[in-house]
Amino acid sequence: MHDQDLEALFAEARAQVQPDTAQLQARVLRDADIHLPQMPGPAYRFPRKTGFLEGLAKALGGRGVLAGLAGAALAGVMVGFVQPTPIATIAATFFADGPLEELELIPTIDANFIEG
Amino acid sequence: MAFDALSDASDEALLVLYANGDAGGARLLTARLAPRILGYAARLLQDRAEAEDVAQDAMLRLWCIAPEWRQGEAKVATWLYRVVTNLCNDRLRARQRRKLMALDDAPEIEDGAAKPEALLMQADRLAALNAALSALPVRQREAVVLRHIEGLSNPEIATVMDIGLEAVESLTARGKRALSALLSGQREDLGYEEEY
Repeated sequence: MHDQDLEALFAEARAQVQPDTAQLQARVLRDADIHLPQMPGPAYRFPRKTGFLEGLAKALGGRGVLAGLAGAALAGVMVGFVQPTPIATIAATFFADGPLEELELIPTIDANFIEG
Repeated sequence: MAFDALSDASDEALLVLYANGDAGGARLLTARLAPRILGYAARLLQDRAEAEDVAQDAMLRLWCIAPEWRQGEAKVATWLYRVVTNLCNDRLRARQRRKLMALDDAPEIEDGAAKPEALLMQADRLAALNAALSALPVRQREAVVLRHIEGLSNPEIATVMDIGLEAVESLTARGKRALSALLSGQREDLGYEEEY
């Protein structure tokens, strides 16, 4: 058989349509439906509940700021509660002997000459 | 997605579409590829029912691999031909083992009493070609069918058959020579003009 005859035969075979592939296609599509990949949708992120302190810190500019403010507030409370003491009371603590009437700033040397 | 809008899309794009959960990609891929691989499998196996099973199995493997398909590495059609080739080889080996390769496996020519003569002659020619193909060694048959009937290029055939280009050329050339020899005695019976 000549090459051209064979080529003509191949061409006829190429043109041959497979009869009635509908059933096969239906089977194949059934498989495709069964194995159809399910794409996960975009996950919805529920907003996380924030606590009062966390919200406050966020509003004020951060936890450091909140800590500073809390420290200042405590110091203010302490200053408010502690009673102011008169200066005389403090002086009495140190000079309990009585009021200071004479103060020798430069001791004389007379005391060194006293016999006894 | 609309079926018409996809008709120009490549096989790879359709497979990616399917992998993304769009059944439209599968419909078009099936319409394009299932008849082709059915024809190829039928020529290798010479058995329509077995060929349908092979085609369905190959397409099923395609659906399963779709999510992991790496674009640009292989063409979908080439990949399918490779799977079909392997599946057919498995079945042919199983046939040989069980010695089921009987003469009556050859496709029967339909009763053509009502058909015009030209169609009858064409059916005879195709039956003769299929018979001659089935007489070839399996690898030669695969190479000849892929090259001359399925229209694949030599590099594609090399990929499908997992062999080198030179081996493809050798197999197709030897297969074609063998076919010529097998059909040479039937030339006139098959309606080819007498030699002059």
